[in-house]
Amino acid sequence: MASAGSGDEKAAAAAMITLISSDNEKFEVTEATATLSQTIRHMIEDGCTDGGVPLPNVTSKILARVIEYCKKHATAAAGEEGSSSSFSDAAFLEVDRAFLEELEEFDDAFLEVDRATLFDLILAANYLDIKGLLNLTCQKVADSVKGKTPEQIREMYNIVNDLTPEEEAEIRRETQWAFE
Amino acid sequence: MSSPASQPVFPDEILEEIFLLLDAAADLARASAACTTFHRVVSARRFLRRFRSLHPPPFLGFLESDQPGPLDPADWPHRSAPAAHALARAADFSFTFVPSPTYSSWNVCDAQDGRVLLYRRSSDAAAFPDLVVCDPLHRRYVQLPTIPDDLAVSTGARGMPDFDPFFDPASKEVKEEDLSFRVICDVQCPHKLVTFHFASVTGKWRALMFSRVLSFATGDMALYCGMFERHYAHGCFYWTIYGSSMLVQDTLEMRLSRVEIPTVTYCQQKAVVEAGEGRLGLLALGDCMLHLYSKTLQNICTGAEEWHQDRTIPLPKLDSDWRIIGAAKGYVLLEAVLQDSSQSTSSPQEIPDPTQYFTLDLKTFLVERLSMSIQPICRNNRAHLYASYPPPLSLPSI
Repeated sequence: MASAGSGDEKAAAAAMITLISSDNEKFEVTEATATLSQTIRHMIEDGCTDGGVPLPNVTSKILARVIEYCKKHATAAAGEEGSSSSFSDAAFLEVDRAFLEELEEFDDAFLEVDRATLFDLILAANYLDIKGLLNLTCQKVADSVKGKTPEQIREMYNIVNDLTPEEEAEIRRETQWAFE
Repeated sequence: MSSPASQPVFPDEILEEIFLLLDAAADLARASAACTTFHRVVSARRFLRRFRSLHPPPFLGFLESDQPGPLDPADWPHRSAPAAHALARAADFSFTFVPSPTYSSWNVCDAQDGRVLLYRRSSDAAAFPDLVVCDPLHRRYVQLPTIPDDLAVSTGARGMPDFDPFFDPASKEVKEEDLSFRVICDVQCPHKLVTFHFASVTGKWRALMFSRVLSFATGDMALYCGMFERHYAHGCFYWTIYGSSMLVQDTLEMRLSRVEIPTVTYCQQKAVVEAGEGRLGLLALGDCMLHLYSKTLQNICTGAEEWHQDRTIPLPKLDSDWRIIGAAKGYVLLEAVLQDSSQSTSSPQEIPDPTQYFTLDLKTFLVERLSMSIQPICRNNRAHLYASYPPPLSLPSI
C-alpha cells in the first residue's frame, strides 16, 4: 500500500520518522502516518524524534499492526483533503462513499484478531493516544459484552469474581431491572 | 481486566473507554456486577457524568401537570419498563420530602433532566405561587424565592391569577458538572407577554416584556391561559392560539411576531417541533393521523414561503380519540382514549378500558406505546416526559 500511487510520491518527499519497538525493531514511517498518534505528534513538535522514537511498551508484532492501521487511515485523511477539487461534487461524494466503505472493510478485517492481540492493541492505542484505533478496538470489547450476564462476562474474559457474596447480592438487588 | 498472565490488565481509564461505548444502561449495570474493579469504575461519579453526557437518559414515564404525582412509568412490553418501574420504586414521586406546612399540596408543572418543578399556592392572596425544584430520586429540593413585588409591579403583571412556570428548555445542554437550572414563568397580559426568569446560579428573578401585535382587549384574564399553548423549538417559544394563528417570541429583538399557519390546522391540536436543520415543524392532529408541515426558519414570519406538508404519520387504529399531551427533546407524547361508543356495551362491573399513552420519535417517526392506565390524566391536562437512569446509575440533578 505504501509503495505505489501519487499519494506516496508526496509522502516520500515528506519527513520520515523511525519508531523503535520494545524488542528493538525499527520501523520507518512517514510523519503523516506517525502523527495519527498524539503521543508521537507531541514528540515531533518538541523536536525529540532524532535518532528514532523508542516505544518500550509496544512489541514489534503489535507495532506492525498499529502502523498498518495508521498508514491506511493517514491515506484516508490525505485523500479527503486532496481530492475535493478534482471531482464534481456528485463524483466526489461517490468516491468518498466508496472510500469510506473500503475503510470500514479494512477496520472489520483489522479486528479479526485473537483476544490477546486485541487487548495489546488497546493498550498500544491508549499509550500512543490514537483515538480512532482506541475507539475501534474498545468498541469490539464493548460489543462483546452487550446482552451478557456478569457470569458470561467473567467467563469470556477470565475475570475472577472478587465480590463478597454480600456485595454481589447488594449489586444484584440494585440492578435487578437490568436482568429482567 | 483481572485475568491470567497471558492477558493484559487494563487500567481504569481503558475500562472507562470500553464502558462508555455501551449504549444501554442495562449492559452497563450488568457489567458492573462482574467484579469489584468493574463496579468501582462504573460507580464513579465522573464516569457516570461522562456516560450521561454521551448517552442521554431514556424517557421512563411521564408526570401529569397540575397533579401531585405520581409517575406514570413505561409499561411492558416497552423496553424501558423494568428500568421505569425500578425508578418508580426507588424515587418519591409523591414529593413527600418537600415540606408543605400549609393546606395546599405541591403540584407538578414541569420536568427536565431528572428534575421536577412543583408549584403551590401558599395563600389565596398571593399573586404568584411558591415554586420548588426537586430531584425525586435523591429526595433533594430547592425552594425558589418568590417573584419580588416591585419587579412584578414594574411589569404590570401583578395580580395575574394565571401563570405558566416551566424549566428553560434552552438550558438542556448541561455541562457534565453542571447542577444549575433555569426557570421561566410567563404571564399573558392583554397587550403584552411578561416573562420572569430565574437562574439558580444568581438566585434572582428578572423580568422581560414583549409587546404583542395581536392584542386581546377582553377583560376576562383567565381566558388567556387556556387559549395559549406554549411550544419550544430551535431556541424560540411559540404560542399557538386555538382557532387562529401562532405567535413567536423573538428574545433577541424582544418582540412577539405573528406566524400564519395552514388554515386547515386552525382547529386541530398542534405541536411546534424542530423539523431538521433550520426548519420549523408544525405537527397537527387530524383524524387518527398526524400531519407534519414545515417551513424554513427564517421565513416563518413572512409570506414568502408556504408551509410544506412533509409527511403524514398514521396512528394505531384503536377506535380512540387522540390527543397531543406533551413534547420534549425530539419526542411527542400522545394519549389515546377509547371512544365512548365501545364502552356503552360493557357492564358496570367491568374494568374500564385503559387509556394508552404513546411516544412519537421525531427522528424516526416511530409511534411506540409507552404505557396504559385505567386512571387517565384529566381531560385538559398536559403531561411531561420524565427522562432518567434508574438507580444506581443516576446522579443527583440539583
